[in-house]
Amino acid sequence: MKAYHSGNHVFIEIVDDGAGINKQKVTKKAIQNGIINEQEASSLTDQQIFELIMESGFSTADQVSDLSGRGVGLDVVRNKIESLGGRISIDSTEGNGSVFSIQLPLTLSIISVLLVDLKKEKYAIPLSSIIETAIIHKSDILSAHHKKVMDFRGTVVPLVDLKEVFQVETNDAQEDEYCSVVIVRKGDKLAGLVVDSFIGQQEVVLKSLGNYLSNVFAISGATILGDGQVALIIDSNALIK
Amino acid sequence: MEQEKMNDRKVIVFQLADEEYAIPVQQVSNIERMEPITRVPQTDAFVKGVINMRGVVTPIIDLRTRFNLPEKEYNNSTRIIIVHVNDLEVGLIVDAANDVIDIPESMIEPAPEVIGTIDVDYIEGVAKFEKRLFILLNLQKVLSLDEIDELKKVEG
Repeated sequence: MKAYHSGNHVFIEIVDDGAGINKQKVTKKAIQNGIINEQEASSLTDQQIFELIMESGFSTADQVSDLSGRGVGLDVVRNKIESLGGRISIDSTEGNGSVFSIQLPLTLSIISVLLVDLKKEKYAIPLSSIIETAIIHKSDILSAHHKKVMDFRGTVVPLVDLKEVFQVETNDAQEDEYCSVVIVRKGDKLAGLVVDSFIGQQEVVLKSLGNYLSNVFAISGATILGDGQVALIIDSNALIK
Repeated sequence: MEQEKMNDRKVIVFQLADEEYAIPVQQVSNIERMEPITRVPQTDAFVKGVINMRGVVTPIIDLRTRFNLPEKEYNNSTRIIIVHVNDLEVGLIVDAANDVIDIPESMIEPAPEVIGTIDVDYIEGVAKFEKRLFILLNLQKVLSLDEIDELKKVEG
């Protein structure tokens, strides 16, 4: 067993000197179980064959007991690792043993965000969901069936006013001529989040709001800014239907 | 000095409006002065937001709002009592933190039941002790979200 870190990842290698993975047996079993068909089987690379053993419901065990041979174990392992943002790969030489390499992110909690102002409150939007930011003129905001939309490079993008969603107190009736919009993406859907102003990009430590506030709408967590203030992190996925 | 008896209950006493409430000292981790609170949108009215408690983001609830008392401006005596209940860590805003005392178990009586009042199950009992009346709280119930959900349904 070997463990080392490189860049932002930790690598764990587990090497055994057992029998290795019998490729023929794995492919035969996979065809039997309906995971792949024969045509696919002939075109698989070694790597892909080894990955078959982590498929759900796959087992080469001839004997099935209450617990073992159900084809669950490695499937769980892979799911867990992938849910942590990691990867697992297998290499094997028949007769010489196998190598399981696990790659995990060093930290789950540092993310890049764009800090924005909503009146006096600060919120953070993860960069991973942002496509771009724009400052648009009030007259560029159109109305489609009583919903505010804007024209973004030829596509119509619905606008979400974050001050309304988060019930930020606004006392001044006068509004600026321009508004700042953060265009975010969920899958192939876009939405423009209207904010007061952009503060800037920052790397922040993601913290949870605690068990007591586990289900707040459109908020995925919080972070502590340099001045000790707590800023909430927006879950933009929740804002796009 | 009076010997501490085994059947005493050590409690933290705090003030809310005109009454004194008590919570077990074991559940209290610290008592802080008011700090800037970051509002968390779309939560219950009594959830005031979160604070930075030495690097830990801690939710804060206002006990006055939770107990349907009129709100009051925070002042110099306002305190945040950080409590641990099961795996929850929550700060409670109270008017003032008064005392740490031992209440003999025998002094604690169940909450008086009067017809016409809503039965609140977060009161564990009352204790009359040294001419003061303390209301003992069951924090688990105070923080329980189930009960709040039910209240909402009734009101809703």
